Amino acid sequence: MLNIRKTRLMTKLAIYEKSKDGKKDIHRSKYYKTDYVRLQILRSIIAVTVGYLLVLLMLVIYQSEYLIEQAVNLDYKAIGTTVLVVYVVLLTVYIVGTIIGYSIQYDLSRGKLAKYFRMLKIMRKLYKEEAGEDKASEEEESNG
Amino acid sequence: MVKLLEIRSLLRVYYQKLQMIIDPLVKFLAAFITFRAINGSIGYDARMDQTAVVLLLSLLCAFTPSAVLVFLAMVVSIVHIYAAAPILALLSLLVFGILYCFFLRYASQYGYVVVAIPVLYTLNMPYLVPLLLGIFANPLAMLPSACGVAVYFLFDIIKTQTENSTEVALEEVLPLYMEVFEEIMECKQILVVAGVFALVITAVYLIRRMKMEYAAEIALLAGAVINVFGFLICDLRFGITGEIGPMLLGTLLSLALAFVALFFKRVLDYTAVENVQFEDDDYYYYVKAVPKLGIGIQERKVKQITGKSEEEEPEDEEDDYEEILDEETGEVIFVPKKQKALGGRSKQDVNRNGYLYRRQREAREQAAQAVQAVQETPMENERLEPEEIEFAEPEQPSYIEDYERERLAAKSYEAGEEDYPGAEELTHTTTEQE
Repeated sequence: MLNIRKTRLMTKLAIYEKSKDGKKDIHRSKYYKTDYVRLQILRSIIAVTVGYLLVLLMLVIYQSEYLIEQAVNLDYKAIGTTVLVVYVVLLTVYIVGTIIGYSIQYDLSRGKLAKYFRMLKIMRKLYKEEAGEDKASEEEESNG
Repeated sequence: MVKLLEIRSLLRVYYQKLQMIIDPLVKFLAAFITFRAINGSIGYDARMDQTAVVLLLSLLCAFTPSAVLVFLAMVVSIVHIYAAAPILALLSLLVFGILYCFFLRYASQYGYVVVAIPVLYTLNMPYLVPLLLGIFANPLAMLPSACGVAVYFLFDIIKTQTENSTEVALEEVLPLYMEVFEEIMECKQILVVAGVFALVITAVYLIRRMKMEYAAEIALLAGAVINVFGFLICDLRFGITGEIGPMLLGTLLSLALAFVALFFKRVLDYTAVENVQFEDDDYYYYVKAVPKLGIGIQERKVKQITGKSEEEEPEDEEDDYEEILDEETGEVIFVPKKQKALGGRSKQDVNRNGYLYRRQREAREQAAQAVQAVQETPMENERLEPEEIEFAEPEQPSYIEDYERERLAAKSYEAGEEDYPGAEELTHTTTEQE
């Protein structure tokens, strides 16, 4: 027999699971908060590094004539230090931003997941009820 | 106003019915306009400029997520630029990469904004984007909007540069690159415009979230004012006074469109029909979940009586209720969250249209209808209250009366009473019988 209550609940769950937010929330629920934030920091570091390299490439192409001409006389140490300092500052800013931003995001999705888990709990209860009914009817049949 | 609301509820119903057609159609139109705008602005590659190609790409975008449109728009524009000057295509690619790594990846859900701003710039209405983002999104959307502004000015610079030099010789490649690069670096307008947009988004967002009546409308107006002042300062600062008139006009148009969007916001928010598939141990379920929309015209009739305005409709009615499992019956009950601050609405407000209130209202209406139905029925059928009903004594047959009287008389006679009631009659009848 179809259980209408169960179907309703399952539909609600399915809609949430299908939605963009739901998918993201459920994906996030697989991580602890620290792990999730760490993962995002790692991603941020990679993204910032790639972006920074692209900026450097752009600058190198722009200054290529000068760089080739002055290849011997350049103060590589000073250039290297500047590049590194800028990189570290950029990285720090992005890491701090990532920690704050993704912590908030994780907490928000936890809030939404609480509702989802509550529905799952009700679902489990329905399943138990159903199993209990089945058992009872089986016993009745065997007794009868 | 009531007429307008009726139109809205009608549109809501039609949108629900035709959702499967409208959504791809809107996407298709958006993609078509985008590709046409790109071709019109930097259409150097004749192959990409063909209508068939544009239609095909738009068709592809109609059935795919918006990220695909963003990606395709980027590819098409790079192909166009490549046809004009390969080195500038490389520069554009680098700029796109940098924008993505530093800004866009943190708000990838708003990626379409990067396309929308340059496209709307061609229609002189880029001001619509920050207003809408303030209403629909959060301040994080200022990142993609800044990217959009950067992309627009990049294309603008590339366009002017390639128009000046049609044929690029091999030895001129680097100078061209350097020139464009310098222009991008010197273009302070990018920063100012992106800053104004960011300010508008933040202001609209903050005012919209305030707990007061007409917060969204006030937010839009404030956003438009900030926009006008920001661009006035920008235009005067950079000495481009010729753009002030079109800017004012564009802002007004954008404001009007934003108001329209705000009006329809609630229509499209919760009316999506969901088609979901799932299974349990026994069945496969293919469920089409249609949101209940029975609050339309009835709801408004109630509002007219109490003199409340439509703006007080709760925005996120679904979120105002908690689902609680009734332990006894096992049913899920919706209970309003009392603690949650509901912007600008008093506690006595009876015109909420959440599930519970709707049920209560329906019950009240049903009761009122029942009472009316009783009152309107003709008098013969009128039902009397139990205490009003007078039961007539049933007529007893005469022989029972006679028997009773005789029984009483016999009793008195046996007791030795001479003067018992009906003694004469009795003797009379007995003598008659004799």
